[in-house]
Amino acid sequence: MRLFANLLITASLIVGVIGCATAYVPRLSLGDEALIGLTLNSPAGASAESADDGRLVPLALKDTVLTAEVLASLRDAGVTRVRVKEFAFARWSEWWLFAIGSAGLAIGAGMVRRAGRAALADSAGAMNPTSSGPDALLDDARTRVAALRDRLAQLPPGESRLRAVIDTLGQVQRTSLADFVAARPVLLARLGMGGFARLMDSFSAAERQVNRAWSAAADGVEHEAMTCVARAADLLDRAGERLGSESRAAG
Amino acid sequence: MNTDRPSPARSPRETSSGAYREVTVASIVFGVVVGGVMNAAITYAGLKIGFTIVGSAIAAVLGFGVLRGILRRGSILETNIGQTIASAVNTTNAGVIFTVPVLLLLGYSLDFGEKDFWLITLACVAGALLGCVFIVPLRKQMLDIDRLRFPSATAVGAILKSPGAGARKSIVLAVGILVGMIVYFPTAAPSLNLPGYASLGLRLKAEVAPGAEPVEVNGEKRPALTIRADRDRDGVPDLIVSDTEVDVGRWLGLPDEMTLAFAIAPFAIGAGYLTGRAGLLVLAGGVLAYIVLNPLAFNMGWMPATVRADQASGYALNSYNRPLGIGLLLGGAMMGIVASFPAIREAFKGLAAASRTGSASPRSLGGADELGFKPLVLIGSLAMVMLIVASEFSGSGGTSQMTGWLQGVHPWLARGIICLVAAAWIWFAGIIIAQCAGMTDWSPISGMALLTVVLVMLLAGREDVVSAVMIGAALCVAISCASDMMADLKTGYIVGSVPRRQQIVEIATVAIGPVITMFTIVLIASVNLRQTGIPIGPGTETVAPQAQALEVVIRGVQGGEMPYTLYGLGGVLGVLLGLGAFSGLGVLVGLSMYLPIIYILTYGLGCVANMVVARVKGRAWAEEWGVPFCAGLIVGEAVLALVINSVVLLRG
Repeated sequence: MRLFANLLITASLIVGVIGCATAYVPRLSLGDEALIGLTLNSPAGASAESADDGRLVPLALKDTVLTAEVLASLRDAGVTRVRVKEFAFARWSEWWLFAIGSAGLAIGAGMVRRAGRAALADSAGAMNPTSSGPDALLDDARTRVAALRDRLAQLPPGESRLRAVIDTLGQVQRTSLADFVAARPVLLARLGMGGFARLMDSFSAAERQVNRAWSAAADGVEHEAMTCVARAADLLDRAGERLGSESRAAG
Repeated sequence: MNTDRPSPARSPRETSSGAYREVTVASIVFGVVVGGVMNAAITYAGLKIGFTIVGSAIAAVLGFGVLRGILRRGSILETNIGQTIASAVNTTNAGVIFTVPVLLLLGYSLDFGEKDFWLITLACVAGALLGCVFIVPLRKQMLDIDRLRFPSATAVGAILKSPGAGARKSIVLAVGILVGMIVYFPTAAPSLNLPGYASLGLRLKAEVAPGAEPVEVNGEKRPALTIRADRDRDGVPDLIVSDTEVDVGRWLGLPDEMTLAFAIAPFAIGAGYLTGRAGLLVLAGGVLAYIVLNPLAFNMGWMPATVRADQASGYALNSYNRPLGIGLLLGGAMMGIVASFPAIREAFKGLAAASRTGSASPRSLGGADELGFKPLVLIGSLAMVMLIVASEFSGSGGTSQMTGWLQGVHPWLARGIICLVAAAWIWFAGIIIAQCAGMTDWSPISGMALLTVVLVMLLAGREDVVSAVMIGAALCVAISCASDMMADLKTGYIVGSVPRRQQIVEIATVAIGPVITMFTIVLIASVNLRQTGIPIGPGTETVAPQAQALEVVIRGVQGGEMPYTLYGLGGVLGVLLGLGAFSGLGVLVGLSMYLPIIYILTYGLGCVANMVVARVKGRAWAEEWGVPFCAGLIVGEAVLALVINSVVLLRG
């Protein structure tokens, strides 16, 4: 259904845009009463003879006000449409294309939303805290950062501590944290936008501390790296609690 | 020995008091000086070629050179602060050069001795401050919650992290920079009177026009070629590879009304790669406009008969691609804001909690890291007063009666209303631009400037051009600052900077930029006047392409030529597109409908490359090695462009 919905949206957008492109280009087959007094916004028609430099010479220049005579000469020359400055719904002969396009977009959007909800319900149902879902990913990050915090206290100061921070946090950044962020659709489906926003507020504060700890370690500033690892561990715990409370609140 | 293994830096990057170096005198001085120099150089280049260069990447590379290389003490975060300040000082030039030169094109004068020069500068400074204070509260929503990618900012983050990322990654980054420079150099070489890609001489096949008279070229008679083979009528088949683009469409023999050309732009490939699959939606809008709509309109007779097939894209751009694209973008952005409302509300709640407690609040763990509401309101109010003062005294002054929608309203009150509307519009446009840059790396600043000028002219009257341009300039500066600040905050997030510190240094230094740009413009105009009798525009070296586009719009408004309905219809489609799974879809599609297709296609190549690499080597590999390489591509082009522009500037 999702594929069909996307095709419908694509086709509807094309149709809608094509309809729009004709909004200021009325047909000359409309009666004189609909066109007289309008002002050309582009040249119209082309005379049989071209200019010295080979360019075509228009029959009516831009800013020409349409009169019965001008309209007659344009029609005689086979011109079917002109671009004018004024818009009127009554002169827009392809408005139905725009209407069809708009309707198609609305229907397609509804179908995409419904398909998305169904898919997320399936995936959310399939995931439990022990599988590779966001809960497990966040738990993994918490465990590894907390273990790092504890291990740092036992390592001798200097190079070994810095290397441990860079290695461990580099790995956490690339795997658990990145995958947790990628689980956004599942979290959105479970928590709703408000709950997701509150969770990410907590999570991002923790992730920033992880990033800062990595930078400090790469710069060789050990005390800052250790402080940030400790803060990150606390903040990840709070993010985990937040995930639990928001999940419970969302039912 | 495993060279992949990251090795920590040996020398501590600490201040004399033992703190981790972040905001330091060195980083501030570095940022202001580098930003100022880049601002002047890029202002000149922008007036010549029509677009500006991303400054953050250049500043990051220079930051390493100066703070870490020469001073031997710059930390990753200190370099980030220096780069944040440099880009804040530099970024405002885009807003000014897209708008202010139009006054010179329209015959107004601008000089140090004139009141309007100082008032416009004041308005631009106000715009810079407003852009910053309006976007700060949205950091959480855009970066923490919506996780916008900001490809260039991600690239800068990769550069900043390179000292600790291991030798092989640094080599990949360096190779990317080198490749970016090598690929880009021939496109810029002609400005140094060196041969570019065009000198390869790759041309289309010569097709002689049957029955046509021979043409005389440089006193030599040559057989006339078909228009397909020789658009510029110089008797020689056109180039497939010019200095700046590869015209694949003509090489493949596609109809002339269909554009399929790729810009030779490493930065676009890099940005496309960093955006990934989502960037293909940007490609969709370009394909819709240039491959579907324009050829159809041409063949259906919706264009004048005097428009040749190869001119169809240019005609369509102004007639409907741009209005529809901007409309789609606005509609899409509106849906984006509606969809993000819960996230925005949470972000504001967090900020309010931090403002109340002044420390880490229990409700928002990251709240204390943000600037609170109080300083933002204070600075915003000050900027509003500056904008109102500039508006009251500019042009014909505050006593003249307006002729637009505000006709009949007391002039002082009317100008106050315009400033309030402008401030609201700046907030909305700032979000749009930051979202666009966050999702794609493109910032449709010129499109927003165009709408602002139209809006002010409708409110104040078609004659009040100075006020319209002034507000337009303030808006342009504001939205470029908003976008830049969000990008810098994204880089800061990646390396772990404290957002509040970045916000403070950016707000404290951002006002310097418009002053430098305005002075540079007046200096250039003075030199041009002396040499050519024309201050700026055609007939001078600084043709100011974006300002020329704005001039067309201003004349269009004065002549009643603006297709307002198309903007509205595009807006409806943008809203409807946003009802689906992705609320920002209208933004992406609309943006690419009116950006130059050659860059969009090259950007699309980058997106496809990401997908192919991820499929073949896996997503982790594509991120780990592809990101530093593509960051290098972006940086390589930006650095080389700045160097070449500086050389051109010094040579005069």
